[in-house]
Amino acid sequence: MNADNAKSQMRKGMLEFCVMLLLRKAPAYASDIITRLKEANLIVVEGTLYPLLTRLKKDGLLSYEWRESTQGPPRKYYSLTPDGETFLAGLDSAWNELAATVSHLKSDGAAPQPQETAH
Amino acid sequence: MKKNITINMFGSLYAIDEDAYELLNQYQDNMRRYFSRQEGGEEIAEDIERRVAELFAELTAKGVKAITIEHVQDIISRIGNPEQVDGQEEGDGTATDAIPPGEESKEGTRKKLFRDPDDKMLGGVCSGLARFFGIDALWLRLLAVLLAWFSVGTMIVVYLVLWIVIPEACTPEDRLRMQGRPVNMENLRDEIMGNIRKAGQYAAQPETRRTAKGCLGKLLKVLLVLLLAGLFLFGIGGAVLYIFYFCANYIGHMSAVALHGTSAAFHISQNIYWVILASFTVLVSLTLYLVVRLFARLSGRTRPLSAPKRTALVVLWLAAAVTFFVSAIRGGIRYNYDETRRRMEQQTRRDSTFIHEQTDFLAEGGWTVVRHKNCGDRYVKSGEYYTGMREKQYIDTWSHDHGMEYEVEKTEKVAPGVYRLTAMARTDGHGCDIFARSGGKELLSAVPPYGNTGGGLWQEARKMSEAPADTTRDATLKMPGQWQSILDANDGKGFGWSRVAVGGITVGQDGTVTYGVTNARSGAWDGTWFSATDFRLEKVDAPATPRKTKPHPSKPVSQQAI
Repeated sequence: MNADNAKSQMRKGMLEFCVMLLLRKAPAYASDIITRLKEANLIVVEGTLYPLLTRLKKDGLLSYEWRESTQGPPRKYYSLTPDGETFLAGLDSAWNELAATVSHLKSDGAAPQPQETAH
Repeated sequence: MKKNITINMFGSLYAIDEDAYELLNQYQDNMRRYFSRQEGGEEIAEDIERRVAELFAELTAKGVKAITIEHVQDIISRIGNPEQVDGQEEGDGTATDAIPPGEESKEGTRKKLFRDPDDKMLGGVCSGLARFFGIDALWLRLLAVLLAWFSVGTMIVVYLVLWIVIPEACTPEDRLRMQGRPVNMENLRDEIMGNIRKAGQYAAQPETRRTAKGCLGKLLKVLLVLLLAGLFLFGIGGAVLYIFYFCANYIGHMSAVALHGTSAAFHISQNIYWVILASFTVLVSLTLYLVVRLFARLSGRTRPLSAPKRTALVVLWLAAAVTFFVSAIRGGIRYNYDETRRRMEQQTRRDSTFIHEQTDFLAEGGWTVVRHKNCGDRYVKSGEYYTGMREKQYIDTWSHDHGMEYEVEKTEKVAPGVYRLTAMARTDGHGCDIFARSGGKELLSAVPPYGNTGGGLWQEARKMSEAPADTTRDATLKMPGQWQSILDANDGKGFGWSRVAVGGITVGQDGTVTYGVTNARSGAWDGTWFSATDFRLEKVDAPATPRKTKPHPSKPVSQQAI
C-alpha cells in the first residue's frame, strides 16, 4: 500500500462525516457541498458525492426539499433528520476520541495504552 | 463548421455541438446503465444529469453560446466516469449490493462479443468472433466457408443463429468493449471522433442508397427470424419424433418384453404423448433461452441472472428434462404395446383368412380337424409335395413347441371287408401315426422320421431307377411314371416322404372306416412338424367268415361270426 492509497482511504473514511458536518449548520444543495469538499480537497471527482447522498438519504439520516433556482434546474436542498443528528453526534465523539488519540500519539508515542483504556 | 442542436434539460434549453451531444449522451447512458444495478441508482444518475445541467447553465451564464465537445469533456472529467464515482464509494465497504467489486473493475477491459459493423462481409459475425478471440478475421472467414462446405450447410444455419444472437456493436461504448479497451471518457471520445470522421465519408454516398440498404437489411433480418422460427419448430417436431422413436424402439421394446403378459403398459394413458410434447417444448425453449442469454452475457448486454432466478431456471430445466425422459420412456412402452397389439390383431386377421382357405381344402377332401392345439399358422401346406409339384396341397402342421397336437380324420363308407390303408407322410420326429379305425378297433402305423429330405418313397424311387427296366417296375411302385419325379424332387434330395401302410383293417357290417393322421396317439411326440396326403383305402381281401354270406340283415351275420 503506497502513500497515495493510504491518503485516499483516509479521505474516503472521512467523507461521510464531513458531508454531515456541512449540513449541520444549514441545509445545502449538492453543488454547494461539492464546492466546499473540493476546497477542502476531500474529493477528486464530483460524482462521488451523489451515491453517498443517496445512501445517507436511504438510511434515513438525510432528507431533502426542492427549491427553484434562478439559473439551471431546481435544486435538492439536503438537511439532517433527527436520526441524522444522533448519528452525527456519535460520529463526532468518535472523531474527538480518535483525534485525541492521534494527537497524543504524535506528542508522546510512549504511552498510548493507559490513555486509551482510561476513557 | 459543426452541426449544432438544441437540447432540453430539466426545462432549460442549451445549444450544443452534435459531437458534444453524442459524447454527453454516451456518458449519461453509461451512467444510467452502470447505476441501474444499484438500489436508488436511477436517482444517482438523475442527480448527476442535473449537475451537468447546472454546469451548462454556468457556462451559458458566462456567455458561452454553444457547448462544445471540449466543454463536455471538461465536465465529464470533473464529475468522473461511473467507475470513478462508484469506486470512491466502494472503499468504505458499505456501498453496492449488486456486483462484487472484482468483476466490476475487470469489466472496463474485458472483451465482449459483438458483431463488428465496420469490418463485415455479411453480418460481421466472423470479424466479431475474430476480435473476441484476438485472431485475424480472414482465417475465421476461410474456416467458416470451409465448414459451410463440409458440414453440408449446417454451418450456414449456425452463422444465421449467431447473426441474430450476437448484437452489433452500434454504440461507441459497444465498440470499445468489443475491442477490449476500457470504457473511459478519453477512449469514448476517440471512438466518437473517429466515428464522426467515418460518418463524414459515408455521407458522401447518395442518401437513397443508404436507406435502401437499411431497408433491405431489415427485410433480410425479418426473413431470417421467420426462417429460424420455422427451423426451430421443425427441429422440435423432428427431434420429438426421433427421440420418441428411439425410446419406443429400444426402451419401450425392452420394457414391453419385461411387462409381457401384464397389463401395466395398458394403464399408461394415451395423454402421455401430450406430456412428452409439452415437456420437450419447455425443455428446448429453456435451453434456447439460456443459450441466447449466454451470448447476450458474452456481449455484456445483460446482467447475470439473480441467484434465485438462476436456481428457478435450472430447477425448471431439470424438471422438464426428467419429465421428458420419463414420459418418453413411458410413451415408448405404451407405443410399443399398442404397436404389438396392432400387429397381433393384423396377424390374427391374416391367419384367419389363411386358415379359412386351408379349411376349404380340408373340407373338400372330407377331412375333419379333430384336434389342434399349439399348432403354428397352418393346417395345410404346399410346395414340398413328393413329386415336386409345387402347387399340390397336403395336410401339414408345425409348431416350435413339442406340446403341439394335431389330428385330422376322415370317415368313408365302404363295403365290409379287410382293407389296407396307404398314405404318403413325413415328419421330423417320433410319435406321428397314420391311423385307421373301424368297428371300435384302431390300428396305427408310425411315420418314419426322415425330416424333409430323402424318405422311404425317395429310396424306393432310387432303387427303382437302379433296377433294370421292365414292365413290373412301374407297377410295383403303383405310380406309373412318377418315380423319376420323386427322385428329382428337391434337387434330387427328396422331401422326406414315406409310404405308410396300415394293413388288416376289418370293416364290419356298418361299413364305416375312419382314418387319418395324428401325433396325439403315441404320447411321445418329439418332433415339430408332420405332413400327410394321398390316403388310399384298398380292399385287400374279404373277411374270413362273413365274406361267404353277406346278407343284408345283420343278425345272421353275427350268428355266423359266432
